[in-house]
Amino acid sequence: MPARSRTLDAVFYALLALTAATFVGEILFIFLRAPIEARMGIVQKIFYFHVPSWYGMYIGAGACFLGSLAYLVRATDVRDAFARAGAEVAVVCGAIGLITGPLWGAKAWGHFWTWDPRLTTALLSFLIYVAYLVLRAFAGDGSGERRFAAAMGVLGAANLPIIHYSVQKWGGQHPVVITGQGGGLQHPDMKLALAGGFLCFTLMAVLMLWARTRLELAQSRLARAEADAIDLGLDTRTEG
Amino acid sequence: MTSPMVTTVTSLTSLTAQAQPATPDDRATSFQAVPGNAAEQYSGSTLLVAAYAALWIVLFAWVAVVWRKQAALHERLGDLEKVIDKAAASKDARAGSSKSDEARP
Repeated sequence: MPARSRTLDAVFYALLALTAATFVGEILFIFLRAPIEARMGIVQKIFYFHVPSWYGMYIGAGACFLGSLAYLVRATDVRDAFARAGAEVAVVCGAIGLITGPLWGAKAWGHFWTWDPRLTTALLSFLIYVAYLVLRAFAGDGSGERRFAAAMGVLGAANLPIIHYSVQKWGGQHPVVITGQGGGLQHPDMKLALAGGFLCFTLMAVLMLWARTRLELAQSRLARAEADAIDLGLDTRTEG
Repeated sequence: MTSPMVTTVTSLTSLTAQAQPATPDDRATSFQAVPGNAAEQYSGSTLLVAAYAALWIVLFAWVAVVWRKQAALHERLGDLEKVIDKAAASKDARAGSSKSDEARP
């Protein structure tokens, strides 16, 4: 194994250990130190993972946008793999946000779901990245399909600022605690718990991006090796 | 404004009602709508546990998907190695037979 690969592996495992430790510390902090919110009660503690999960989705979507844009400028396996990994991170984090949000809303609003501008635009964005992954999974892996997916990755990011500003522009039921005219978190431990949540999801998103990009690259290299084997006249059909 | 006396009497009445054992005649015989626009109430603790469980379920599902993709990759790699080994073996066999042809007088 080359020295560079060994170093990268060591960094990856160190990051993995740090992420796990941060998650454990964050959960302990949320349940043992962060105070219970006065009006909503204990259910407000969903907030410390719900908001960072959407932030994680933004990281994934941003990576998909950058990878896709870079791929359209110059097509390489790394750029395509990064864009694909970004879309997957966006879907995973978006799914966490879409599940935890309604569970919180059930208590706070009395409804699991309302067609509020922020909820609707967030769902739309999640579905765009699901569509991206479905396209990549079923439409083949040729250069045409990759370019089409890259265009989708660039255009899909257009909805992200709309999610962010939808609350300020169109109102709705979604709270604005830490953005816009919100009053903010009134207790220092609440602020710390939220900062911990952001740290957890940043580390997790980076880990997921790294692991998936590496796997996608390995898949591309293998596909190329299989194509080379066929060109050399080797029969790559599997037996039985 | 309810007087403290009335409140005490109401509390005592409800306590007495709770203390009496329920008989089959106490069971509901009809369903009544809740007056007003009342919404169903959910337990905050249950929702909190559900939310944290969902977080881990989604993350573990992602790990399972990555594991499956890696297994498929491993299988394809194994197939490619088999094909290369087969090609190398047939090449060796060809080289061996051509050597034996050369050595033949």
